[in-house]
Amino acid sequence: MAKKQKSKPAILDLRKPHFKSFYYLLFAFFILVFAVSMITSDGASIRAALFEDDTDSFMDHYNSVVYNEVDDPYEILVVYPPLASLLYKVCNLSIPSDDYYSLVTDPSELAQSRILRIRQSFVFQFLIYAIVAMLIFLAALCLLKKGSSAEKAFFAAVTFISFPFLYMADRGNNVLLPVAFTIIFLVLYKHENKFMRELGLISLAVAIGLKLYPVAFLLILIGDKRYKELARELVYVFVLLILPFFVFYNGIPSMMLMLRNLLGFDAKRTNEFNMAGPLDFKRMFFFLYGGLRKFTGITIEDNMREVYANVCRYGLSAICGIGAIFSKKMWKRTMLLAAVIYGFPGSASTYILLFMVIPTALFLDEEDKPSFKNYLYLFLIAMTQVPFIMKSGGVYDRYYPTKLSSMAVLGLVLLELIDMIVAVVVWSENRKVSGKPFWKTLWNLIMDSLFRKTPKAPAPVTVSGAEAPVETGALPDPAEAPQEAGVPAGVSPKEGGGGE
Amino acid sequence: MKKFSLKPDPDKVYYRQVFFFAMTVLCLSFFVVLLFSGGYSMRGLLASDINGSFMEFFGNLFHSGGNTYASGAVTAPFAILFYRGLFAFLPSGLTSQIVPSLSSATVPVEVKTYQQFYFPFILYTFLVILLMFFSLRAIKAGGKIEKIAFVTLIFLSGPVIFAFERGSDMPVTLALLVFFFFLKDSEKKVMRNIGVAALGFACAFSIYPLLFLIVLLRKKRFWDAGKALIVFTVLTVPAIFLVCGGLQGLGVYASNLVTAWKENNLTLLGQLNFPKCLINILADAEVSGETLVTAGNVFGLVIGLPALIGACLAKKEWQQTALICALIFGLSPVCETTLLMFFALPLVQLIDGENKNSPVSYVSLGFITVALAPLVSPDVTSRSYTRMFYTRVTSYGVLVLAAMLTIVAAVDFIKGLGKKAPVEESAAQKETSVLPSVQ
Repeated sequence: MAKKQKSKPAILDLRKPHFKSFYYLLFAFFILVFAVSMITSDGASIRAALFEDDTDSFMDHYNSVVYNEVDDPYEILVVYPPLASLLYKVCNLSIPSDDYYSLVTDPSELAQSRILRIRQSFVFQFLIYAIVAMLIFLAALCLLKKGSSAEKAFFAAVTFISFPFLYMADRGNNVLLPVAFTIIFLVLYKHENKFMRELGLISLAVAIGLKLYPVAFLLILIGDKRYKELARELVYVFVLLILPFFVFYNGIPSMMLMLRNLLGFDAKRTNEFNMAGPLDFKRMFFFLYGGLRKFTGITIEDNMREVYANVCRYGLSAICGIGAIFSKKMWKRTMLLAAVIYGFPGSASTYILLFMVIPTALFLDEEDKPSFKNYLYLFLIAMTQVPFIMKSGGVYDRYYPTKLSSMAVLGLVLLELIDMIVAVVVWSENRKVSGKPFWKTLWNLIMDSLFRKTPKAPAPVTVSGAEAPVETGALPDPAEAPQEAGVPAGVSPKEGGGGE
Repeated sequence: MKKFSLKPDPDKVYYRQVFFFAMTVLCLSFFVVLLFSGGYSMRGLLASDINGSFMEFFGNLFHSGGNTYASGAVTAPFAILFYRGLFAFLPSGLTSQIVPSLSSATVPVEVKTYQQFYFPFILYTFLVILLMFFSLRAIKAGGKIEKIAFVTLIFLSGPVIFAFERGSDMPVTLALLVFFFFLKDSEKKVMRNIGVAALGFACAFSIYPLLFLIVLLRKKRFWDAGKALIVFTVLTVPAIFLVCGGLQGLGVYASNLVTAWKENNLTLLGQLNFPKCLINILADAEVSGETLVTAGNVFGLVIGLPALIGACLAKKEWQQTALICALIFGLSPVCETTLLMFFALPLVQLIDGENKNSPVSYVSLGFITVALAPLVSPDVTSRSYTRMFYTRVTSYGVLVLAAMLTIVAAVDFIKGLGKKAPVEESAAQKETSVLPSVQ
């Protein structure tokens, strides 16, 4: 009688990807630690998750609603685009005037009375806004995330307990809507139905109209060579971002005021190793330099520090932009866009990391190669969101959680840089085989990437320690994942040319 | 090519279209009126306590940390255990500073100015929205857009908005009941058991869902009903001893329920249960208070008992569910607007399951839609918005619905007596097959 062969349990089979298990177990661990710390610390560990001022919950929303009572809120330092301002204006109009004027004396005051959160008439508009925003977000998440309803619900639950989401909820910030509309764009912009495709484009324009950050996602259309869609998108952005200035506010003066307010918006943190809060790309340099100086004594001249910081800022942003255009995997493109949204502006905020939910969902659904590099990517993506608790100087605060998430973003960008370097090395080896001059080959590469169809691939060259790339002539794939071409080679003309 | 015609096709049913159209118009009207009235129309839907937003949640939260029933609370024991879990996240120092007495009937509204107290509220709200979203999305048949539209309309319905504004935990109960109805007839035994367990959870969280055991008993699923009761017992009994002060606490809880019933009967503000529907009509008559209350209670029995029998005999599942929901609302000791949200259950059964056009079904759909819609209207005399219009329309709507469906159940039962047994079997099979099966 033949012996039955015992099959290995699926979870132990390392030839198969276990990304979902890895991600959820990682999150479960941190959630458990957070919950236990909340109880054992008598609630003190909440300081690691939420805004420093413990009497300011939801005030991003309430303040914005009050600011928009005036005719031109940009005169009182509002930084939101006009679509968001109009949304707050509508919320303002739904508050009875007798209640409103009993609590609001000066709408231009930066910090409004915290008592607003007690009065039903103020609470009601916030409640409706929150319900609608959550529904749109959940609907978008269900569209994005594949799998059964139980899996979608589980993913949503994990997202809700992530630090960016908790921080956003505590602040009452409106970033949830731009994230939701960006997700809808990503789901619909390649839909087979023309109406749905337009809806996707309009969704991105709405997202940009609510908060400028999603403008980075225009690079998705560039990377896909969808230039006709890009042109239409710019029209929608004009209608939803620029036109409202002229229709509802004072036109160009209001626009200039908003830009002035945005440029002046800075967290005003110290540029030292002990600086509080999240780190944008520039502050990452100062933070790391501060650490280097503290532990090794190495110093940089004062006048060069700012230069290097800007190099860091623009350099890392460039890596993100290039990767977002040329990378083949959507999860990687969206991850880099989320990173540049977080790192490029002058002031990083924890809730901006909510955009990382997009590459997380895409990674878990799409990635099927169980390589060490991919697990590292997933680990770092998770680190941008996990509820991480650690004392700093004997007290619970946001120092370590924000540094962890910021360094995780940096790590993701640097991993992409390594991928790019490997891809360039492989490509240059292939160029030698083709015999063409370097600059001509580079020019052809750029043109092919942005405009033309995929050229014929010359014979592949194996670089030592790397797998043979699948496509060459264009920028070949990085060593570990040859299918991740630096150029979207193999993209069909219809998909790349911005079809109807 | 088919010609477009406004004439209804007699072979098709239009319950879905009628509901979506009516509810969308009513919800949109609510928000349009809200803007045009400068926000004042919200007072036609929300509770009159203008500083009481979310205070049901905070009340339950802080009371759970002390001697809960000493405050007069009527929260179920397992729900108190749930709140006690959230209470563990609160800093004790700040709690004792802001809320000196955890057993006091009222909790200071200043709790709503502290982040530490909002944190468990945020977690709780996420849980509620998640449960409601996915449960309603699962049970509703149709495409993605239809499901999302249905979920949105339920979230923007009058009782749900009211519940969220008060911080009521009734949405949790609704979500659990939706899971029960979605899974109870699943082809997979594990899923059926989960559905039955969900009913047990719902009963433990709020005792009202105990009436839904009728659904299982009517189909002679006695063992399933027993399982639900076991889950209810397993959750409730430890809670009684852990956080409610044991049997003595249970006695106080029962006493609180009776007190709430009596106090509720003395006021005609707010929703009207069955007894108060009559009391309200007779209030202007020169009748003594005691006589009024007695008449009201008798009226409640006159409507309630036949409705209960009707729920046991109803031929169609949506009619049974609607009668149970009406009973919960009409006989509740503390008749609240939040109880109206249970009508989402017969609603989804009707619009997805009913495949015959009948006046009774369309009229019932109308009443159910009215029970769910956020209806506001200014008071004729004072020209200001009060809850009078909303509470009267919904309360009497439920009363008429209960009476109508009771009569329908009775007529169907009498008709059924004259027919053979196989007809009843095929009806039961039909009720099972119209529900969406679990994937």
